[in-house]
Amino acid sequence: MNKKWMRNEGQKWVEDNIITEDQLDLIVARYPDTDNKRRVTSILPVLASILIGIGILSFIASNWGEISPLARLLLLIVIMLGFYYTGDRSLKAGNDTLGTSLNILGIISFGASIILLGQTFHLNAVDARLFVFWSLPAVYYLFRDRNKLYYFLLCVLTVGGQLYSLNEFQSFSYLLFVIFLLAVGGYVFLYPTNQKSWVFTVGLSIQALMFIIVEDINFLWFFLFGFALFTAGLWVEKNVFKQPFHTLGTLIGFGYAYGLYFMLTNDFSSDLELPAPYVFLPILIVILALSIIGKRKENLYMHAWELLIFVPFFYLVKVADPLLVGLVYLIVMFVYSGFKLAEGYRNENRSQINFGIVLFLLVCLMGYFNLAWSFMPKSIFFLLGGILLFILNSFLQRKKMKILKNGGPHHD
Amino acid sequence: MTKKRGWMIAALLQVLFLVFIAGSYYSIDYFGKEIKIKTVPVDPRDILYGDYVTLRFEISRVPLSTYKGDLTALDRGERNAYVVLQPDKKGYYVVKNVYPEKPDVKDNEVVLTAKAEKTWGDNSFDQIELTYGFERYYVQENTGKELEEQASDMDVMISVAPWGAHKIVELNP
Repeated sequence: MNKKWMRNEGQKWVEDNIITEDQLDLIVARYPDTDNKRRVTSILPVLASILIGIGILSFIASNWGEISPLARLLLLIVIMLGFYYTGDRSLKAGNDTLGTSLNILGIISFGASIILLGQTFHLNAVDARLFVFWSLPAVYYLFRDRNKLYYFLLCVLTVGGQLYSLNEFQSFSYLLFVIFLLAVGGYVFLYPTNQKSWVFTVGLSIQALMFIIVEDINFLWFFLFGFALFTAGLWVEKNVFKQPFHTLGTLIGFGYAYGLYFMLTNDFSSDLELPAPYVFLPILIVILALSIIGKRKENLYMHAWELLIFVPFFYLVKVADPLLVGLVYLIVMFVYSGFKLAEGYRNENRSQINFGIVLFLLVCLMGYFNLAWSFMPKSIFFLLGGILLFILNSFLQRKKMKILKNGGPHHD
Repeated sequence: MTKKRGWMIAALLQVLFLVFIAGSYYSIDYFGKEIKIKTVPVDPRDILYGDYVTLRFEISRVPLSTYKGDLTALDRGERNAYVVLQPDKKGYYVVKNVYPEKPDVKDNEVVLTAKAEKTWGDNSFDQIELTYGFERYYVQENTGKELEEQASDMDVMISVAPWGAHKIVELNP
């Protein structure tokens, strides 16, 4: 917060006789001047060290051919140790930002050294081993200093390494996944914050998806993963995990409902391959039971509609017309977003209402596009669609205003 | 003490790792056995990706009949294999057999590890594509063109260490 801004704003309060001049002084004094200046001065050395690092690396890269392999090795080691040494010195001097950035440069130069040595010696990677070794120093520094910069670096190295493994070798690196689970997951567990648990949940979901792609498993298993994530959100004890698990699981479920609706109503239904029901359904039922018990345990009133998007309607294509099943999904999405909206109204929670409005409008638009596109003149189609959206939106917004008028926004 | 000096141990381990990479490369020179193999044209014409040249060898593709093991395992996708090479009359090493487990070999034979995959080739599906891990030869930037033109017909000297490590010693057009 800016002190100058605060004083200006406070002056108005004084003029309106809300507070006295003395009180304003006291209030302003409570907030230390934001270390804007200090922040700038601590970012500058970081930038400087990055520039120096780039300078050294590009100098090496352009003169690489003339340097003998052993000299290259020596040079890389010196650069890496230089970063670690100065990083340690800065940390001891109390300059956290600079020290951490230098250490991160050290870790980056360690990985760059492996890659450059690999090129020098014509080593061909056969798996994502490089990233396994690369992430180890990040693990060490993360648990030693508990700085979140290392956390994000480690996430980039493990998930990025997994992506590289998928791209280059079409394989899933279990080792990287274990590191992700133990180091990244363990760290969030020990030192939880909202931001970190979100990053962890997204990273976990991405890797689950990659595993399913690489192993050529039926794509609907990822739907089950979303459901499991949602259920885990009900059972997990730590609060910071609840929201990301719940939201991401819901998003996956909703994404599948949309994808299936689109697929089944657009003649792609022959592409739909179902997972073996003897394995899939029992697991689904177990998760379903767990989620119901979880809800009960929390002593919430049962949100049956929340589980609606996780019902495997797709198996119905075996007995019913795919188009019909697609329409079932449309209805499910309608009901779901309607309930979401209603729940937001009931809780008088602004963010829930907004989310519900967006979801509801999206589903409306989707249904409208699909059903009306084929038999309406295009100009009228767009005109009507726009007007429809406009009316719906203003109606929902007005309702929101009315509900939020008394007491303003609430958050649970 | 451990917290103060911990970073030194961590840094030292990283240095040792880098030295190990270099060391394992140079140690092949002392312990390795040199073999000569022949390159063949690469399928896609654009073989130069940035700063390395893609090589293909005579030993990169072999008939399925050379595989001495459970063929159904190969059907399920890529798997590790041991390739036994022996010299032909002109001195080039060619594939004798491919095994799923490490076999015992005679003195004039050499074992290479590879990733084996069933593939389409020579109008039949009865081929194995073998990837050894020396298919990329890094060159200095912008010097790959001439090498690229010769890459389809070269003799490659490869040194193989007893523990399976290998490296390209030289390329002879």
